Amino acid sequence: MVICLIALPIFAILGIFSLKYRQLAWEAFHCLFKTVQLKPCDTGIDQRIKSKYTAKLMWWPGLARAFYKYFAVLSWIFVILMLVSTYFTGVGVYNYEKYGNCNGPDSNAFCIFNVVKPNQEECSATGVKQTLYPDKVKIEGYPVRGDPNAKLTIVEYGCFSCPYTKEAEPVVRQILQDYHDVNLVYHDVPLSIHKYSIEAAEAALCAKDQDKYWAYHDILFDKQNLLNDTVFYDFAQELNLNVTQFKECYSTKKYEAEINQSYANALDVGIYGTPTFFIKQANLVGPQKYKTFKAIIEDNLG
Amino acid sequence: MNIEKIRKDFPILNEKKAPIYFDNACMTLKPVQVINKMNEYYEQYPACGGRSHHRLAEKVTEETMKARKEIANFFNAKNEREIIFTRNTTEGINLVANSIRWNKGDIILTSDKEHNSNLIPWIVAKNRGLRHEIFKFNDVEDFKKKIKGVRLVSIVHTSNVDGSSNNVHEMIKIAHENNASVLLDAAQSAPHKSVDVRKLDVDFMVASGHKMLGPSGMGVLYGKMHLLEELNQFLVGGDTVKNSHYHTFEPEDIPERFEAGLQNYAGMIGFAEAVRYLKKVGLKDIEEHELKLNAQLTDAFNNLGITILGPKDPKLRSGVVGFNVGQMNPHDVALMLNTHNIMIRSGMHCVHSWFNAHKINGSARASFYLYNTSEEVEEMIKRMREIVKLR
Ligand SMILES: Cc1ncc(COP(=O)(O)O)c(C=O)c1O
Repeated sequence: MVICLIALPIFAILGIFSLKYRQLAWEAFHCLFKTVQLKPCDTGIDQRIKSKYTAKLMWWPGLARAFYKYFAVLSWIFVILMLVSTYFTGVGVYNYEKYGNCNGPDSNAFCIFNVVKPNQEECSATGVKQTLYPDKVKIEGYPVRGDPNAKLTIVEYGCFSCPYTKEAEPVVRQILQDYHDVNLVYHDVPLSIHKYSIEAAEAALCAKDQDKYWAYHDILFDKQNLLNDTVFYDFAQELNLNVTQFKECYSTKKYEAEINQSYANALDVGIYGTPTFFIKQANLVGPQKYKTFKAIIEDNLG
Repeated sequence: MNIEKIRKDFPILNEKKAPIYFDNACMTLKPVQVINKMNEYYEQYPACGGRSHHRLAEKVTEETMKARKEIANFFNAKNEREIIFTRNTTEGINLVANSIRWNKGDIILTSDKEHNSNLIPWIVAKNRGLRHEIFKFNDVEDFKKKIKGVRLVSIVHTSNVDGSSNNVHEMIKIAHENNASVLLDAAQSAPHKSVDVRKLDVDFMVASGHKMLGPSGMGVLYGKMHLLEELNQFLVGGDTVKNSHYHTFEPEDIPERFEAGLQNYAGMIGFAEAVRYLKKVGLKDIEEHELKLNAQLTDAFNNLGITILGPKDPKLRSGVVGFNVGQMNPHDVALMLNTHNIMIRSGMHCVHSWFNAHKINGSARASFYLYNTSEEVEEMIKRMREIVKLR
């Protein structure tokens, strides 16, 4: 009886823990073996399953009767459903391993594995997960790291005071080092839940005035734990910026409008947490493994 | 007979989810008296009987002697030395089959509805040049036709398939008129009604203790003394001889001669306690009670159109109701009842030969005992009402 195809893996797993289920697994295997040979199963395991559930359905005689009569058909349906769901589970596991998301790189829909073992942690922007719109991502006017004419662009929506954005940094830097065909566009999304996020965003853009944006960007993440009211000047000094000019820029909030614009774009795109990465249509929320970027990049570079 | 009081004696019936146990033809439940008596052996005198000369061994010997006496009385044997302890009915039959001093061509006659235990030993015996004949169950006329020249009649008393009985009184008489001995398989009768070996004048009788409240793996073989004396020894070794030399030995007395090796002393003592319990309740009352339950279930089954195996009259079927629900697989019925905590047996009940000959693919079987109640039967009827709807 084909029902044993379902029973076998269940009992086999339970059988790791208990002798009783090991016996049942053996019976299911034996039964399946017979079924494959088109012989009737003689361990009675199919019969036990059928009778047990028929008895449990007795409060609804019509249903019990149908279940009892059409058990063979039902078990075929179950087997097909199992095979189909096994296939999709397999695809999901493959996607999860490769892209960190069981629904594939282009989706940010619910993925059960992330609940079981969350790897997509992010700094919450909106408090709820929502649909992302990669088409609304803006690139022009935002700082670019790497070859401006690179074939592929990773767009990152990050926040200087978000620990998860910091956590994502080393992998991103490594990727840029390893793939010269790839550049990075960084959008700042200063989340109000983090102290100094706006200040850091302003400071970074002030450094851009002196062509030290990426150096300042890096120091902000590297020394994220040191952020305070005065540290931004220290960083400027450390990077040999013209501190007077920097101070002027910073204290007058020269880039307030740009920052608001960047933030508004993030809301348009649907960013609900930082960091969020877009690589063409693919999106990744939270720090990612190197191999996840690698897989998507190589898919796109061909 | 106070069933409430009886049920209190059975630990398992006092559990929260007490089973509705209708598989008594296979194995019965055990009362606390039997369990305690066996524990007494294990706790107070867990030694060997017969051999050693110390206080514990003497106690074991004394208790097993008492046990043998108790069981001899239960079957009304003339002498307790005619009682041989075995593991079960099967072993008893094998012991007889392998111990009689057969002559080539000797005929063994059995009915056509024998338990494998009373069939296979005779099929195997054909290898030794013996012959095996079969008569129709409970058909005295057919029995008369086949009895000529038979050496041993080996018949079941009450069938475990349908609860019907062979007319053994008549058959034993006829057998003796024809110089045949009779071995009676009382596995299904001894627990439920009086089996008086002297009144029956039966030559050998076998039964299983575990089907009559006794410990599992404990049985009995009765044989008339002069017949036991004529038997060869089958299982031999320790405790079966008085003395031995390198090439010869001197057999032990009967019955120890047939009880090889150290014995299940706790089992013997527990078995005796079980028959003591049955005697106290009274086999007459037990039989009457079972027939009442049988009538109750039979009535309901007739109304539900469930086929009952064997005679229509429940009075002729002891405490056994063998049945089939249309073409439904009997295992399904048993499994479904099991989900409602009702335990019956299904299949061919070790009587494959009869089922195969009648082209019946097995049956379900409910079998009662003294602790079963009318309410339990009612619960089974309720579930069967649901099950028949699946037909
Ligand atoms: C009629 C009959 N004979 C023999 C036996 C065998 O008994 P045991 O298994 O105790 O040897 C049984 C038990 O099922 C029986 O019902």
